[in-house]
Amino acid sequence: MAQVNWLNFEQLDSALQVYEKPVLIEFVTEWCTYCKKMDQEVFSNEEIFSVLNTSFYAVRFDAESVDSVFFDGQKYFNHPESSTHQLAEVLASRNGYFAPPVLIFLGEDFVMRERVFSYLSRKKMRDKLLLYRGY
Amino acid sequence: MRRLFFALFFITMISSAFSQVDVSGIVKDSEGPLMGALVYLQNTNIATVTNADGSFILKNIPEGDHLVSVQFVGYRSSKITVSAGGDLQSIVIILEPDPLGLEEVVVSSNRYETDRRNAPVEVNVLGAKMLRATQSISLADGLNFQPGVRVETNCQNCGFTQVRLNGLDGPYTQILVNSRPVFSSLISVYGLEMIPSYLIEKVEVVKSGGSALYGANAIAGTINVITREPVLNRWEVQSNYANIDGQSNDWNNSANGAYVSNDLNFGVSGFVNLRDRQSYDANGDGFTEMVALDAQVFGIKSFYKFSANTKLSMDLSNINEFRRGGNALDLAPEFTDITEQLDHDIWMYGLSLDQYLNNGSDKLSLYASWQNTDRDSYYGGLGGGRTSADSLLAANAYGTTDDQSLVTGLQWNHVSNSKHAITGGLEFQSNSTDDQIPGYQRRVDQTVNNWGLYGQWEWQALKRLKLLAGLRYDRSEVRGDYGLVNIQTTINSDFDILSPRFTFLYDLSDKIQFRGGYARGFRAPQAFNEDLHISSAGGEPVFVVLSEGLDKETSDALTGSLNYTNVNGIKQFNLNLQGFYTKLNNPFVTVNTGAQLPNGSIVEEVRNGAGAFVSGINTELNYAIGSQWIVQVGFTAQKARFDEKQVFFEPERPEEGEVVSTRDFMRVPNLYGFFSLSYETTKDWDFSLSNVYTGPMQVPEILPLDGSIVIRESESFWDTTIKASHHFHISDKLHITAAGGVQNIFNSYQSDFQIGPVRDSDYVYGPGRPRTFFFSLSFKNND
Repeated sequence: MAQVNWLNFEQLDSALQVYEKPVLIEFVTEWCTYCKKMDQEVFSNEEIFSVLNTSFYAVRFDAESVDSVFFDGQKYFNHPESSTHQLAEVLASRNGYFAPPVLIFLGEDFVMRERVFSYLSRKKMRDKLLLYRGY
Repeated sequence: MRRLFFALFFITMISSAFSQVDVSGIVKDSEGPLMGALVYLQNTNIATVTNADGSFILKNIPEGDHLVSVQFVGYRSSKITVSAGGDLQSIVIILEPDPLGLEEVVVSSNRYETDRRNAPVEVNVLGAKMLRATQSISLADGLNFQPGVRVETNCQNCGFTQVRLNGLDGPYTQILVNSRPVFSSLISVYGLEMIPSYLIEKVEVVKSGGSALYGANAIAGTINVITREPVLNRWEVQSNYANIDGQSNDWNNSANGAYVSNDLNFGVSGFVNLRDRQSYDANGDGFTEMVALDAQVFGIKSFYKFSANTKLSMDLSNINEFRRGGNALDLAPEFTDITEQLDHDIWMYGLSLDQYLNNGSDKLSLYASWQNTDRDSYYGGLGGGRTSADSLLAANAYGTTDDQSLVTGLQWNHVSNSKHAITGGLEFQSNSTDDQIPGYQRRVDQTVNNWGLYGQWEWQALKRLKLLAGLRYDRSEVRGDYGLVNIQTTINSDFDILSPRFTFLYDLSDKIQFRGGYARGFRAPQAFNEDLHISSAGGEPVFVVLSEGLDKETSDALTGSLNYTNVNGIKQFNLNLQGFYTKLNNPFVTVNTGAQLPNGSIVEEVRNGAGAFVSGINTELNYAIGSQWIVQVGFTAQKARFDEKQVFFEPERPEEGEVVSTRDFMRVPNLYGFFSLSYETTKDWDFSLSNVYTGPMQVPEILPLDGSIVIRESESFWDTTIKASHHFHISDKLHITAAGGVQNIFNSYQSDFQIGPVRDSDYVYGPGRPRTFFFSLSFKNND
């Protein structure tokens, strides 16, 4: 595979039932330039996508998507008062403010290890993946 | 197990199991215990979250020294070393609030380019999307789509454009590029046309006095052009073709690209722009209404971050522009009746160093920019005559200009919690201009130095009230020698001036904000851009001279505005009403003295006129449904009047005509504005319709027969542009956009131009071009 195998939340749900792995969730939007930069410069890097694909489940979620998401026994919507999806509000906001990219690293136990509210360079991403891959 | 996911902030969790020591403690802020803070041992999986009383226990940790980290949203994270011995350790950790998230220099994106800042000063934003929708090739084209802003061509022979803010003409406005005053007074005349719109990220317009930071001579306001900060590695090649009224071709080709390293520590970007426009003659008299343009512009910009807190930026650009208007453009200028020809070679260099200190709460910027312009000009011609005197004068109408400017300064910003923001700085500006046309015995040799010292304090006084106070001290030195045949003027003026500013922002509700403010400003007595420009009337050149004893001009400006914003999902609605009143004391006024020099030249003199005021209301409405539908409307209703009748024409002898005086400002319509509507389909089509309305206004006309002036009332204009574009995704690395449309579709254009060699070249008003068809194609690697 020459790229990250991105899952959505539903796929993550089923994947975790089968086999537990650490998880990286990336919240992006269509207008987020730094998300694009990460896609082009970081996730396209062979070392990074191979670690991600083998040791993690990688989830990418458009924080402005209008589809409701069924995950972990609950349903999440993009409610009409704001353009940001509930899932992004719950998981990826800081001080009630959502500014992509937001990256969430979870352990194998599905407990959050770290939330990153910023662009990550190749080196920083590699360091974090190695730290959180769990072995 | 996975149910833990959404309880992760509240539930203690423990891992690892091979030691015997526990560490417990309490996490607090200055007001008491904090629940839900994340406590963890650095470099391990051992973590917990504090309980309702702020307490936590880290169980079963190995003996020895550990670094315990505490993180909580809205607070600075804290680290503490704990030596886990045999006994239970109890520690107290006090967190400091970090409401602005200053902890790290965060790199993330922000949604709306037209978001109004939460600043006490009203900022109107013109975004890149609007520039595209209105088919704006340069900044000059796009600025009309801002309330209270009007751009107009002021001369048929040299085609210079002028921007008017709230009815006040060019020199009352300060043009900034990335917040720095890089344009000298000479090149700001043409500068608006020399900034290609694809370099622009957004334009921020602050009307009525601007801020203390940018210099007190921004009486009408500041136009701050924010250029695109590259992030992605990109390239783009673009070609625009326009056909003006079926007669003249206008080509604009450009290429630009950027590289930014993946750690964002180094970036470089560059562009090249080539413009070639033929002249346009509206009435078939052989004399241009729009000048021929031939310009080559290139620029390169780069930055390097020594660390996350230190950034060095450098830029360099060169503008090479040739323009020519008049008649018989294929002949040498001295064999034509009228030629204005300008050949600019402009080099600009900039350097700045930004240093963040104290976790980002302080920022120091040191900057310098330098500009050098060499200009060859020709203003003149035979003027319809064919005598040997005419020929001699025509052969000697070549001139040269050397213009240099330097801006350097040091600025300090401090933000302490979210209550106070303080900015202070020191700035030195120097501009020297040497303009010579030996054939007319014309010389301007001027140096203006200005030292500025300023401070600004923004204070969130109450939850709903924010105050901003600024004070600027300027010391100006003007040294000028102005000569025209037997007229000699010297200005040797040093003065100190204090310019205070106050503004406040009050949130009436979540949706309604009120802003109010007062600003003082001044303009030094000096030759500005237009004064160096030479027009022609009756076949003779018209020169502007400064009167002896010209004094500085000062202003007092009051503004008040009401802003209503309603965001409902992807629907954004914003309505802004801004009232303004600016009082001008000793304003500079150009008076035609009717004087003719022995060589026939006509003289206009800059004097301190009667007091004056401009006042009115700017209305702006924006409505967006996602990025699909965007509606923008802006209208200005205003008055601009002198306190008493101001003389514009003062004949030396009674037979030269009547004295002409009026209380109205010239070229200021009482009503003007724009609207724009754009629609983006999900299938890669974009459609837009935009319109600029210019109401009737007073325009002075010099009659070719006797050189006397009459004041005309112009008709009104609707300059409408339609545009459609389509985006083709050829591959991940190649995207093509094709666009086409019509500008000034109803051909709303001035109909009473004067004709022939004796015409008044300044008698031009309204839309800058007649009906024009355009087509453009762009290739790029990124969307």
